[in-house]
Amino acid sequence: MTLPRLVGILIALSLVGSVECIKGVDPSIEHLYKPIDGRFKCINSDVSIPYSALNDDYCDCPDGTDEPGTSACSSYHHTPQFYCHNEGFFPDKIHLSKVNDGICEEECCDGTDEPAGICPDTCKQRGKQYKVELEHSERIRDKALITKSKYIDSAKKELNRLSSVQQDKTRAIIKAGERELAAKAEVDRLEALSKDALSAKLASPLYKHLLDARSALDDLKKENEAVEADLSHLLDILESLKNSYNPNYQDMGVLAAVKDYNAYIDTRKKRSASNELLSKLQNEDLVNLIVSLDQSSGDKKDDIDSMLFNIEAYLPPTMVDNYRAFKETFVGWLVKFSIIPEPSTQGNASYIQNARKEHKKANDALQKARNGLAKTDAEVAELKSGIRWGPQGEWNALNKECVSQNIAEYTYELCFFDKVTQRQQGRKSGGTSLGKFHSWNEDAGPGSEDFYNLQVYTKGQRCWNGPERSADVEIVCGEYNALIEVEELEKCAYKLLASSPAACHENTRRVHIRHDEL
Amino acid sequence: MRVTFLGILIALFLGIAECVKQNDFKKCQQSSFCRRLRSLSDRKTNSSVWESPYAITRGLEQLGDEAASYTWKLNNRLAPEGIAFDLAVDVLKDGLIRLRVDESGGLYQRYNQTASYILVDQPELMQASSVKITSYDDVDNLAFQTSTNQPMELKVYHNPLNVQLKNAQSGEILVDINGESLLHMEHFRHKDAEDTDNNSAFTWHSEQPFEDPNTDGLWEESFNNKPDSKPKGPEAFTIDINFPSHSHVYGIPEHASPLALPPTDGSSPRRVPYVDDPKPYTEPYRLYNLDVFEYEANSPMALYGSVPLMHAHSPRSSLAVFLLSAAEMWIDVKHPTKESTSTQWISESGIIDLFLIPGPTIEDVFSQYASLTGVSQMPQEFSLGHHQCRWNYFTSKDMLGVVSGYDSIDAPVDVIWLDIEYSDGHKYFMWDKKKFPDPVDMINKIASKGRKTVNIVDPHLSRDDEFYVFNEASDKEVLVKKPDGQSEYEGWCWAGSSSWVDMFNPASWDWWISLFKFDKWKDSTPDLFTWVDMNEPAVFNGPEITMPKDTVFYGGVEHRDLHNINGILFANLTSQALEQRQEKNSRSFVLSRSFFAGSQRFGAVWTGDNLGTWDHLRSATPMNLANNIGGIVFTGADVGGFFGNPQPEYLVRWYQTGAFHPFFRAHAHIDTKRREPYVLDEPYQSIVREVLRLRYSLLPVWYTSFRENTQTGLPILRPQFVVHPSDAGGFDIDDQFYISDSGLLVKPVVHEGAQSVDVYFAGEEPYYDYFTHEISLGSKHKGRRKSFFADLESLPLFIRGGSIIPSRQRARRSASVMSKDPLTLTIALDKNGNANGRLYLDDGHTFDYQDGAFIDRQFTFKSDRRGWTLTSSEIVPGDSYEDGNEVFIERIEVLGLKAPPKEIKVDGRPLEFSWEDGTAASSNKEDTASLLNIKKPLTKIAHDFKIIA
Repeated sequence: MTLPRLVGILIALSLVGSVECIKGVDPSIEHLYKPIDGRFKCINSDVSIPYSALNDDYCDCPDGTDEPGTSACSSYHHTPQFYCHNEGFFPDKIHLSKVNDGICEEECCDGTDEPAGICPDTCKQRGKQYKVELEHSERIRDKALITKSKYIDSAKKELNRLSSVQQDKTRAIIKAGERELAAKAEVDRLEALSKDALSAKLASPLYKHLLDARSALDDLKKENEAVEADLSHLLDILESLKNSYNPNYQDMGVLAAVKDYNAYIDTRKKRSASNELLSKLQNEDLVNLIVSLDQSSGDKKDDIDSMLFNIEAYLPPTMVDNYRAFKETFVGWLVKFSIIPEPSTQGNASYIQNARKEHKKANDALQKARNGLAKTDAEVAELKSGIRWGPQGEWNALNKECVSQNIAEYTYELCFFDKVTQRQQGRKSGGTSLGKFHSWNEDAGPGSEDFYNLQVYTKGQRCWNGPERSADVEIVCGEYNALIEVEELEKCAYKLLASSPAACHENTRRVHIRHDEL
Repeated sequence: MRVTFLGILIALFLGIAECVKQNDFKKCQQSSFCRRLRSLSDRKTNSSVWESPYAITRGLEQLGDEAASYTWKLNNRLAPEGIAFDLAVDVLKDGLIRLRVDESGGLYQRYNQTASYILVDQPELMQASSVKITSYDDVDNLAFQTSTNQPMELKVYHNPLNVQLKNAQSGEILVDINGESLLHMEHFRHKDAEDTDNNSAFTWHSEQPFEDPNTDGLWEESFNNKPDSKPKGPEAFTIDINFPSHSHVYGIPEHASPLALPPTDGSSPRRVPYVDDPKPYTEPYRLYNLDVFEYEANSPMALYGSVPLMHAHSPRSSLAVFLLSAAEMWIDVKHPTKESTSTQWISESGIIDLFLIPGPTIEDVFSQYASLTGVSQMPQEFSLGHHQCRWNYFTSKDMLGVVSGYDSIDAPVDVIWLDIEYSDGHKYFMWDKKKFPDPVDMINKIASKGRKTVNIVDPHLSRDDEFYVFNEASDKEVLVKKPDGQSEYEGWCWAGSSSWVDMFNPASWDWWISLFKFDKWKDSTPDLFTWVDMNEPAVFNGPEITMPKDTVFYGGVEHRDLHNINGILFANLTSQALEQRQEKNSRSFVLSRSFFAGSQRFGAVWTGDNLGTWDHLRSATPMNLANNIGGIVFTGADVGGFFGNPQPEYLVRWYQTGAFHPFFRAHAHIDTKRREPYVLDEPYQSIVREVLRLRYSLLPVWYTSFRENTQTGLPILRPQFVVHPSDAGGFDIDDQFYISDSGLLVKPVVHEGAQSVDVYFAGEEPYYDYFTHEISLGSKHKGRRKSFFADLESLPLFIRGGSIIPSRQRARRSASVMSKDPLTLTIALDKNGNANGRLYLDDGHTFDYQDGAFIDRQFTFKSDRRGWTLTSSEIVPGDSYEDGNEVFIERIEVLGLKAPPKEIKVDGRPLEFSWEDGTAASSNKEDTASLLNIKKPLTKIAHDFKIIA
């Protein structure tokens, strides 16, 4: 009785043993490879085959699952991959197409992917090397985590600073509000006094014509802005053409255009912003102006005139003629209607004018204070809520911090949360915008780890005959903030790799290590 | 009214849009010689008494006693006194006729060197004793036999000159030359004598002058403000060639046009499958190798290559004519009747060197033509795999990323390509070390997974003092010269100011070959191969984006005389360079954009910069078929379309089509998005992977096909008329094709959103769906159209009954690691239960096969009353080769048997098999075929075997 039982056990053991030995099978699914009544049941099919046909270098199963250790079923999809045990290192898997193909796979350091004697077992060596690398990267990660905690501290400090700013600003608003109320009261008082006199003036032809002039000025400014915008648009187009024109188009016309553009840029005069002056004229308080006429003597007209003439100096040459015509008419009106100041209203108007100015100042100050507080509130909210700056505010320290790297003929500069720029090496400024900060990785859940692995920069300079440049910045854990790599896999779509301590976590495995550090 | 107006506006707009590209290139009217000589036909039409002025003035003379070589004196009675011509006729060994016309004692010698660069050898002449000559007053009759013993007659009528080739057995006139009285060779003349020549002597005595009275462009002309000084004046010729009993003509690539050449006289073309809306052609077919940016998908315009070979075909016979001229050429095609074809050939310069290729079978035509320009070189086996290219992979890392991208999705690829941006400032040979710091390391890394690298070498050399190739070429004086013949010609290309190597200068040959030697080009390895682009040559600021015709080559020859063979010389020399860079004999791999007749000897070509549009996908099949019947069998097209960002459906259809072109390369423009298979979404990625694997599984078929071409000259891609030459119903079909003699029939799906496709089945055999084994029956008399379901995953592929397909069914990452993989034989029975097949294998990369290191097997499956036998026997005895001895057969599938066998034995050993019920090939029923699956016969492929059931 004992003997048969023992044999039974032995048979069972040997079967278990043979299951374990099935070449290429991942231990976690080895139960699928147990014989059933001496047969192998194809895993994803009802067909079963003699157990001897398993791994016999012929694909029997319609689902290709009977050859886990040979390449015979390599053309089938969804078959389990070949499993290398890699004793001394980590197990890994390869496609069946790579089994017995004469090439030693990196994934199988134990060499089991090829017949014995072809590939050396390098797992021990790999394991050792891995350990060294792991220790090194852990060291770096730990250093980086110290830096990261500093970032977090400084975010806390920033939060403290901001809340005291909030308090200061709240107090300032209260004060500014009081001042505004007082100034308003003064204006109301004075206006009530001179209401009648004023309405007479406002009915005067001069005031009407001032209004006309204002409207003409508005138009002029709009037109100027439009011209400026067109010009700048055209210059952008040309600049973009120059930077990225594509010789593929074999177009001699483009070559000539780029040449002419360079010549134009070299000789172009720098122009002051005429819009500023126009804005000043536009914002002139007309009521005050007409009231102040009362005080004017003969040289007041000269002042206006000289001021109007001065404008010419600020205008682009193309606009001077238009402006001159406009100016002549305007001055003409002033002469034609030769308004005589009324001595009786002079002083009164001046008071009101001053009071209004005071009130406007007070009101502006109040608005500014309120806006300032709103901004600080927003900053606080952002730092507290933890989306943009990270759960602990760790990314705040990188705000606008710039890192750069020389690659091929270019210097690439990444300013976190701001922009990416490409310049010819050696140039300190200018260059081509590869994008402005748009968002963190929107494909990942906000606040997740993946979310903070990628920054997206969009709306860079438009490529010639192509899209606007854009850059995806992958950020990996590293000891320092650094730009590591830039690739342009498709025209105008850049991929950047950067490192930062802010991207490190306690469990981070992937740590950027500079090659010279190993 | 309003609608009409809108219509006109739209028409105008379209007209303009179309002209943008066309304006860069000449129409016949804008090329003065074409205008002058094409108008002969108009003047003839307007004349009531037109007669050829060319006549024999001295009768037949035989040159020497031995060889069948004859001459006549010829004259144009309208030409000035003293102008004379020689007519020479050679009867070649295989029964081909070579007919040459040259001016005798002219002011200059017409260019006559084209043949020396293009023909494989000096053609062997027939023994004079084998030609029976009968001369009468006005006609000489030469009777002879072709290599396949067909009796032929060549008749030379004297006045007016008329040459006819006749099938002496059937009495059929095959070719009729100058039957239309359009033959004309412009004699060299003095510029100052122009007036007297033209106005008196050349005026026809009747209402129409013979030569064009419009003498503009006779001595100089310009196009788009680019002048041509024409120092030798007019020297063009034209010849009319009629096929009185042949309804269809094919060939003269390269044009994006239907395979069966539509007429060029504005008459309506026959309907062909590949164009939805056929438009009549009014321009002649042009042969002038050009870099045409965004070419049209249906047009007789010139493209990158030229093969002046035209097939004429009827259900009764096949023949071809080959006009060997390297100058710009235009060809008109008309159909005087439904059953006949007339053509007019117009060439700018050189001698008339016309070969008549008599046939009469289509197989005869191909082998006869191959005796002139040769057969394909046996390709590197890896080059039949899948190629991944892009303008550009920008860095070493980028390149290695492509390799790992393929590995990550378990899809095969053999070659990763580098376009021009790998080079330092487009100074080819010199790598941009900022982006490719260690090219050898990169190439080796790619090679470590059994893959190759190709980079581009263009023939324009940057005129940069720091460019050693340019400096050496300049020192050796092997650069093309300006019209003055002294100073180096400069033009504009990728590299900016550039000069071009003059490959006609023998001094350039060894030098060019030396550039590729490993001790010279240190940044290369035996795993790096070469792509020769822009070799038309493309010159951005030249006339029609090419080189001015008056630039000067070796020996003072003008570019106009040799333009069309400029490109083939680069492919030739580069192919030699790759062969000679190693001591161990190794085959080359060169891809060339420009080509000419004979380019098959130097590597692969492709259809250039196609668009990512459906009509360009459609045009890829007729274009590749036209190249194939022009002898240039190693052809393909940019899979995916070079320009544009196509939809995934389109990409899938492209891969399904390109996988059945001999050269299978995906390529994309620099402005496109990345579209490698590994960036595709599902299900597209999986579909493409399956297509790639299918291609690799059929590599034994492709390799065997190349071997067959080297032996027969028959094309690898075979249009319907080649496989079924007497089935007129298939003559216009150019959207499906057979792969060599394998029995595989492919019908690419090339319409957006297609869910079904019509397939044309000719002949009596059953056709088996490659994937479902469903039988479709052909028809003996009139081919049969059958509709097939063709969703995106379906690829209409069939095996013709009677074929045995060898394949390798194991998915692998590249061709080079498959050499020991076992084979599967798929046997598709004909209605008598028989089948044949062939398998050729060798080491795939050396010339050892020339010394017998190959396996070349014939498989024969024969049914009889008792059962059946499958035998494998040697076609040509070979010694096998190292890996060949390890290759065995792992599976045999037999489709269409009536009943399962009781037992199957090989050498007395019983074999395991399984059986699936189904229809028998002999049953004449359309249903799923029966399948017998024989497991592991394990017979070594190198050995004879006999399997009996």
